[in-house]
Order: sequence, then structure tokens, then C-alpha cells
Amino acid sequence: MAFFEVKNLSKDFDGVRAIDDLSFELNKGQITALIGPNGAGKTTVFNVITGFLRPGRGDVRINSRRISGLPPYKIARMGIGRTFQNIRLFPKLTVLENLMLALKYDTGERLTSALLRTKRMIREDAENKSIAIDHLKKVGLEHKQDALGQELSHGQRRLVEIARLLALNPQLLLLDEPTAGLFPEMVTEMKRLIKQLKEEGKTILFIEHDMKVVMDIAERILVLNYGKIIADGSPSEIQNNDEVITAYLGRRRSVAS
Amino acid sequence: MLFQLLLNGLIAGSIYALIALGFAVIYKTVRFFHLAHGVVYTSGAYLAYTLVIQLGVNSIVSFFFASILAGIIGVGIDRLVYRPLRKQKAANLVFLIASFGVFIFIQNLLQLIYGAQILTIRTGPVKEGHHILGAVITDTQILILVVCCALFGLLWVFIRRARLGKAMRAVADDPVAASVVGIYPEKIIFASFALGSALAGAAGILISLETNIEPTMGFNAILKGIIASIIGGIGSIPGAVAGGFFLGIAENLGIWKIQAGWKDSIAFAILIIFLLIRPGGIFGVAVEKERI
Amino acid sequence: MEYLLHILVIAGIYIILTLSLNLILGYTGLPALGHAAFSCVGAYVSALLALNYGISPWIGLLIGAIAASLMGGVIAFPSLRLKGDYLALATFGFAVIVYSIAKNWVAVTRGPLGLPGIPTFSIGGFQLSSIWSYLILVALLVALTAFLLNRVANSPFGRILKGIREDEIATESLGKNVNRHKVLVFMIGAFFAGIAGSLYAHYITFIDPSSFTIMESITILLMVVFGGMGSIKGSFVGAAILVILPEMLRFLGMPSSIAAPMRQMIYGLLLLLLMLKRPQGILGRYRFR
Repeated sequence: MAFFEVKNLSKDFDGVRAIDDLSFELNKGQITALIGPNGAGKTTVFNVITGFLRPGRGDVRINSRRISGLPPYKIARMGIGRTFQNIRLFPKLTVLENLMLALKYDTGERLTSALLRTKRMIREDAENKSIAIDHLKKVGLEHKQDALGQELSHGQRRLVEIARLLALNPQLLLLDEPTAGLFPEMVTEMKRLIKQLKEEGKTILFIEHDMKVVMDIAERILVLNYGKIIADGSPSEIQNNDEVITAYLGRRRSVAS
Repeated sequence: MLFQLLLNGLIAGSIYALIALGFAVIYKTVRFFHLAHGVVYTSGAYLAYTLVIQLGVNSIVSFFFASILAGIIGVGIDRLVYRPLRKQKAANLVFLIASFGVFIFIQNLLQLIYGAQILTIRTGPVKEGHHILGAVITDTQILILVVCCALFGLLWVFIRRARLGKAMRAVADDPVAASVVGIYPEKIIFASFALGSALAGAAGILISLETNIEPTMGFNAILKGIIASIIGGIGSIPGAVAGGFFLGIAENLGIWKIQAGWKDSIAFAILIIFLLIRPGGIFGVAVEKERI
Repeated sequence: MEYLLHILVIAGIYIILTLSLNLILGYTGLPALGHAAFSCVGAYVSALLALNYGISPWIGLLIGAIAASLMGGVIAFPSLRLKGDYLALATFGFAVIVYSIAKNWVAVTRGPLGLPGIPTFSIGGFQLSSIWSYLILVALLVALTAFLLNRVANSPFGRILKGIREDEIATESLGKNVNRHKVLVFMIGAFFAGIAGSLYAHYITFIDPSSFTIMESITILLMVVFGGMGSIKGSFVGAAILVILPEMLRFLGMPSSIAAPMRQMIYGLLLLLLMLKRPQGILGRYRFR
């Protein structure tokens, strides 16, 4: 059984078939890129996998357990985490609070714990605080822990969003355009991070428009167009795939006219 | 009996529809709940009172003049309160609360000026109504229905045909694209407040032919107007009319079997049902969903 | 002097109402506009238990609060899918329905006639009849409310509430059950509003639907918005000022036909100025998104 499976997934939107009989599998520890022209349905795929949209038809499973049809918070707890195209940091919370919201609490988050201010809650919170700071160190931003989300630069916000995702400790990471809007140095840093995550055993599926990044770190590429997968293979295979080229650039013109 | 209730429902519904219509015209362009619309309605009634009763102006002239003045009040509210908020890019809820502040302010200003007692602009003896199919309808009620429908028709033609009407639709659809082709959103917002508020004023004047004028009349009116709008499809012009009639009839049929005191509850219960089951209303307007 | 103490008791009751609404609206960001519905339930349940079954007001207080809390849950559930203006409208609608029930279910509530002769609190046989004793009781309950709500806010649970206010979707994507927390926060807010309602019933010893109208809900909303969204101190400020202000106007010796609309005009103006200049309120930290 594959680590992560999508089978015959379909989703209609306002009469348009946004996702059309999609099927693919992900192997554990692989870095896979999801590419395709604008409007191909890439973010929609993410939204359906993470439960923010109900699938019209089809099945999504992780470790053989079905997640399609579950509410998003349950899917997150089953090991799937994501970032968002528009970076959804909590603007008026501190960076530290942003991270701490991703961490797991055994009983500390219960209402009774809050009202009684149990020792356990205080202890858990303190432990989680240091775990959060550790995750911040991974992206080099522990000095920003008390800054508000809205005070960070774009690049910093992307990094904090990743750190927050890591704090969730997911097995499968869905990254929606992780390098969008980043300076070249930051792009390099992001690529390094992603590769390091793979080393740590995480499985990554990322949406990306920057082909250099894709070719650089993707081990496998899924190409989406009009909600269908039109290609699935290694970077070199995809580079030479006619259908992919047509999808991006339009009809291929012959060299000799 | 049933027919009488239906008739009553139609008349009430036509007023609701007129309020909802003005509300919808404004909502289409600004996309928040302009609660103060209710107090523009009240202003229309009081202005008509001043013109007709206090100044002795001819009824028809007063109707037009008071409606236009109501339109000016509406525009004034937009310029003084909403435009600064637009510049600050305030959240929707801020507009809502500010609108409410305007509402309370103007309602009580009217109370200060005219007093809290009920007033009336009905002059002359009460005429006997006409009998149709076992129900009674008075001349006044017929007048209200006719004027309302005339206004609906006029507005419909305007929105469909006139350049300004088309421009309003464009801004409603996509303000940025509209400004690119040279339609200034601020101008359109001005027009929709002028138009919508004049309609509210007209509604206030028309209802005063049937019932009394008092400072708090606008509160219920705007609530019903919003409910009618949502039932019909928020922002939709035919929806506002459909929703208004639906609400009027449903309310009046409802109190046939249920005590009259529950009338408001009926309206809100219908609202809640629509919000939960069909937020797009009868006409199925697309409700804005958050992009993930 | 007695009058001043009476004002303080009323202010205290409103502080509890403001604090409880602030948790829902200011802290969690849910525009719940029908808060008076909860105090209505608390007041009537407590009063009816005392009048019809001779149940001690202390127990009535608790049961009334629980009943209000359940009402909070009932209102929260359908509201889960609604956002912004629509949520505001729906909760408003629920409040109208609760008010209508109070006004029309004459068999139980005696409708507009109200419920007179509600017994006051008593400790071991001693009726709490002096205003000082009520002031102390109210002050204690205010302190308790502020204490508990402060604990709720400054906890991992409270952090989730803040997350919901800032970004529901992100919060959900981090594995937190947003819907459950929304229902819980409604129930908590309603609980304390129910306490305020009971307090009011056993203090004034008479309640009727007119104490729980839409305007009441809006007054409480005003107190939250004015004093400061999401701020406990702000709740104190907002409630205190908006209770004392009308009283001050009364002392200016204006006839009530002028004072009443004048007071409301000031409210309206205050709201306007607030929204234009400082939407988060005097002491608030969280602006509306």
C-alpha cells in the first residue's frame, strides 16, 4: 500500500469540473512537485485533500486510512499539514503564538484546564513554548518570537508559516507555492529547507510555478491541466513531454516553416 | 378571509419590496448592510409630513420633493460616514456598526424635532373600501400598490437600459475592471445612494398613507427590508421585489393561524431558515465564499 | 446615596454582560448581536423556579445560567456556517425570537405583564434586602466573572479562540476543531449572561420582556465596542460609562422628552466617532478584521 493515495477524485465547482478523475500515489519521503498552468486546479486539489472542500467523488487515503469526507481538523491530526498560497499567519498574534497553536496538547487545551489553571496545563504550555522556539530556530527566526505576524517581511512570513507547519509534526507536507515572492537568497534557503525535511523523513508535495526550483529539488513531477493529470514522471521525462509543453506554451510550432 | 390576508400581504409586501429594492441598489455597489436605510425611510415620511401638513404643499409635489430630499440625506450619510471609512479600508462590521450609529442618531434627531407622539399625513375622511372577492381594499391601498409597481418597473428599465444603470451593474460585478474602463466607483456609489435612498423615502411616504408616523418606524422597516433582500437574493433587484412580496404574504398568512404578536418572529424565523438552507435566496444569488 | 449604589449595582450587572459578550465578540471575533436573549433566559428561568417551585434564588441562579448556556449552544450550532454580517443578522434574529417567546408565551411568562414579586437572595434565613448587600454580591460576581474569563482567555484554550478570530481556516488546518470551540464560547458567554439576568431578576424583583429587547442587546454591544474589543478592563470602562452617562444627563435637568432622544443621539454619535477614529474601542487591542 502506498503511503498516500488519491483515487478517482472529482470535484465540481459552479458547474465546472475543477478536478477530473484524479488518481496518483505518493511514496514516503519523496519530494513531488505539482505543476500546471494557472487555473489547472492545483490549489483545489490541496483544498480537497485537506478537507476544506468536500470531494464530489473519489477517495483519499493516508497510510491506508480514509481521509476524504473528514473535517479539516481531523485530517490535520492524521498527519497532513499545509501552507497557503496567501500565507495564513495570524496577523495580530506573536510569532511564538502562531507556532504554539500548531502544537499538540494532551489536556492543556481543554476548557476545564483553563478554568482550573491546572499544573498540567501550565507545564504543557511551558514545554510547548520551548518546542516552538526550537522550531523557530530551524528557520533562524527565534529572535522574532515576540513580533506580531503582521510585522514580518514577506520572506519571514513564509519561513514562519513553514516553521508552524513543522510544529504540527505532519508526515505529509503540502506546500502551496513556497517560493513565491521570495528573493533569490531566500529561494535557496527554502530549497535547502525542503531537502532537509526530506532527510528527516517527511513526504512533500509542493505546488510551484518556478521551473528552476522544480527541476532542482523535485524527484517526481505531477502535471495538472484542466483538473486532469496529463503527466507523471521524473523531471527529465516531464521536460521532454509534448503534452506538457503544449499545455504551458500552446501549440508547438515547427522550426521549419 | 384567505383572500383578504393575501391582499394585505401584497400591500405590506409591496412596501417591503420597495424598501428592499432601495437597499439592494445600494448593497450592490457597497456590499455591506446599510442599516441607516431604515432611518432614511423614516425621514421621507417626516419630510412629507412637514411639506403636506405643516406647509400645505400639494401632495404629489410633496411626494416627489420629499423622496428627493431623502435621496440627498442618503448621499449625505455616505459622504460623511461611509466614504471616510472606505478610505480607511474598514472591515464590513465597522460599516455595519457605523451605519447603526447613524441610524440611532438620525432617528432620535427626528424625535427631538417632531416629538415622540404619532403623526399622520392622512387628510380627509376615511373612505369606504372596494369589495373584491369577499375582501376589502381601499383607494389608498390601491394607490400604494400601483405606485410601488410603477417604481419597480421604472427601476428595472433604468438598470437594464440606462447607461448609469449598466455602469452600476459593472461596478457591482467588478469595481477594478469598471474603473479601468472609466467608470468611477465613487460616482456610482453616489448614484446608488441617491437612487436607493429616494426609494426608501418614497416607501416611508407611501406607508404613511396607511399608518401613523412615529420616530421608531424605520427600525422594523429596515429589518424587514434586509430579510426580504436575503430571501429574494441579496443584491438582486428582482430578488428584492420577490423577497418583499414573499415576506409580506408569509407574515400575513402566518398570523392567520398564529397570534399577531409573533409576526416579527415569523419574519426572522424565515430569515434564519433561508440563511441556513439557501443563503442565496429565491433567485439563488452567489454568496461570496472565502478563497482558501 | 441609595440611588448611587443602585447605579453601581446596575453597572455591575452590565459589566458581567459586557465581559461575557466580549469573550464571544471581542476575543473570538464572532459578531453575536443578540446577547440579551441569554440574560433573558437566565432571568426568566431563575424567576419562574423561585415563583412557581419555591426554589432558592442561589440554585435558580445556577440553573438559569445553565439554561442560558444551553440556549447559547442552540443558537451557536446553526450559526457555525454563517460569517460576518449574516452571523450578526442570524443571532439578532434568534434574540428577536426569544423576546417574542417572553412576550407571547403568556401562560408561562405572563407576557407583557411580567413577573412581579420575585424573591431576593437570602443567606441562612436572612433576606438580602439592603442595597449594600446587593452591591457586595454583585461585586463578588463581577470579580468572579472577570477572574474566570481571564483564565479562559489566557490559556491554550483561549489561544485557539484568538486563532479563530484571526484566521479560522488556518486554525482549522492546524488540527483545532473550530466549530466545537465556537459552540463552547457561545455557551460560556451565554452562561455568564444568564447569571447577570438572574441577578437582575432577584434584585429588581420584577422582570418583563421590555428589559430584554433588541435595544438591550445593542446597548451591550455598544459597551463592548466602546470599552474595547477583547479587553477585560475595557469591558469595565464601557459598561460603567454607558450606565453612568444617561444618569448624568438626567442630572442636567432636561425634561425627559429631550433627555431621552438626546442620550441616544450621543450614543449614535459615539458609535460613529468610534468607528471612524478607533474601531477597536477605548482599551481594545483587536480591530475588526
